[in-house]
Amino acid sequence: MLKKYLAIYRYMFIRSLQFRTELAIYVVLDVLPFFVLLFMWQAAFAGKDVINGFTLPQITQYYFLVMFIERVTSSYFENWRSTEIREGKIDYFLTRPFSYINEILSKDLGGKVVSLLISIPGLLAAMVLMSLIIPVEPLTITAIHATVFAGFLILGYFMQFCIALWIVLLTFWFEGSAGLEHFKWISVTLFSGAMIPIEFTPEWLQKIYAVLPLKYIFAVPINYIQGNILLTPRLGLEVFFSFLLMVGITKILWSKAVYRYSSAGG
Amino acid sequence: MTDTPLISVKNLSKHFKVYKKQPGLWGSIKSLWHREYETVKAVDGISFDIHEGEIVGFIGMNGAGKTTTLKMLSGLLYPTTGTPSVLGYNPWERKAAFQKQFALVMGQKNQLWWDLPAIETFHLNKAIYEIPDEQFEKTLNKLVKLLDVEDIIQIQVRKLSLGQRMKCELIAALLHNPKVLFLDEPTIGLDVVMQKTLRDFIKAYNKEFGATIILTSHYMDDVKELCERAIIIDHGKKIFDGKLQDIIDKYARNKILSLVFSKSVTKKDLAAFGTVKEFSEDGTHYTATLLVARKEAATTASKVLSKLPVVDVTIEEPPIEAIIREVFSKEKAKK
Repeated sequence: MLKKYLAIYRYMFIRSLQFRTELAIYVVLDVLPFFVLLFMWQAAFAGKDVINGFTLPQITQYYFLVMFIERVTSSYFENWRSTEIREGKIDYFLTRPFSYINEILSKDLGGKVVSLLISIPGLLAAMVLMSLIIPVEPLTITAIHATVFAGFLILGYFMQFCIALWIVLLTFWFEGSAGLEHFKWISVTLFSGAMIPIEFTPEWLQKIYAVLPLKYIFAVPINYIQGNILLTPRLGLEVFFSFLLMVGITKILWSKAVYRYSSAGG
Repeated sequence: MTDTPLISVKNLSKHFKVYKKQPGLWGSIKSLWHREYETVKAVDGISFDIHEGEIVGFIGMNGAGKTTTLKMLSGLLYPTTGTPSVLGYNPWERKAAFQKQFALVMGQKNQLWWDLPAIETFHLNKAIYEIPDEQFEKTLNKLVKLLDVEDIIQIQVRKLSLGQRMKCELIAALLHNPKVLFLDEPTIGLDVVMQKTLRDFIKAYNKEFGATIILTSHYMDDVKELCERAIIIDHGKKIFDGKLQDIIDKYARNKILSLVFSKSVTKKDLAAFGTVKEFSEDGTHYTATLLVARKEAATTASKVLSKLPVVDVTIEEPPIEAIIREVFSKEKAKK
């Protein structure tokens, strides 16, 4: 059963390797805005040691972790997958003993491994380089911390995958999804703590943040590895149930969406 | 052959809600707050049974509902009314056991991986359908030989010609030895020689594997050569279901004789042989098309050849549209 998805995974892996130049350019493009952000923070800290309980080295550490998590967990397949559905090109998956969602997942994972192999060394190099200019708080990590953090990353990946998938599935109802894609990007960066540590945001935003599970992708793992919070059973359950909820929503969306498929063209 | 049909369809319909946009910028702006929807009955209450081993041709003009019907039989579209049964399954449930026994090939859409050689897609399908190694090798070899594509399955798909690609599409769809095969315009856009090759192949496949095939096509020749039985669909409704020969005898009584002359001839000369449909001369080119009785097409052609200064002559089947128009008007007149 798993074998067919491994086959897809393998093809995607091969295919991604063909576009290594493009991948390298994306790595640079992704890292650049963060550098700009760090310099802004440096300017904000001019003459101050602590803002909202954060020191500059802590802030830089925060953003490096954001960058790292972003690399590992993010999925960007909404655009071409939506087009695929709109143009009626998923007949292939719907007429074969093969799940479309699993196909998206296998392909995304295949591409992910390649992009990580290329981007993580680049990211580490960038961090070392940056730490020469701006002070970064060093992290002390135990084996348990690292393991739990890795667990958060995997869960974070699946959460981001679900959200990207919702955008894709909404194509069955709406004509375009470019707007939704931006909406996803804004809400994920804002309510997950990826844009700014949540302590810096207004109270109304913090309330939304508390309700939404997006914090489990960025803010919670970062706070955990920084040693600010502990992995309590309560937290573990919260994360787990948020994840289950997201998977459930995805399943319901999919089962409703296929009724609306029109298999355009042909 | 058993008595229970392999494919059974009763009162099958598919209605689409289509939003009508007024043309131009103002129309687009207006559509932001007010949209008019229209219900299009792509398929409107069709019923038929198909038995094991049959090759049935779906004939109809563009937009008649042929493809939509096939898509419902494949489980791609959810029918508005009616539940089709294929191999005893409801296609919409998309059970793996069902999907492993049928294949849908669309001439307009491709399933092959564009950037990779066809053989890679074959291996992928092997994994998807969980085809055992031995069966895969055997089927692949047989199909590759039948279609004569040994040299091209290693070449990137995007570098293949349309005909070569279609051959590979067929192989990819048949690797799991489907019992039921839906072919939607498999010969569209292909040249005459390639059309013939594919027809021969489809026939051979039907014989060898005893597959049940539904075929849609624009080309009368496809249907004539492959299908004993034809179902004519027009505006989502079935207007004829029966032996193809009956349609031809009843409605396509004529063949078309296209002629090119070296010298000017008169319309009167031609009228002696059949109904003159087109006639043109511009001083250098003299052409005409004649409608002649089907059974006398060959003798008439030889008479024309001996009596008139003919440079070129072809005998053609009337286009499918013309036959359908004929059937439609007659069936209507009956009621």
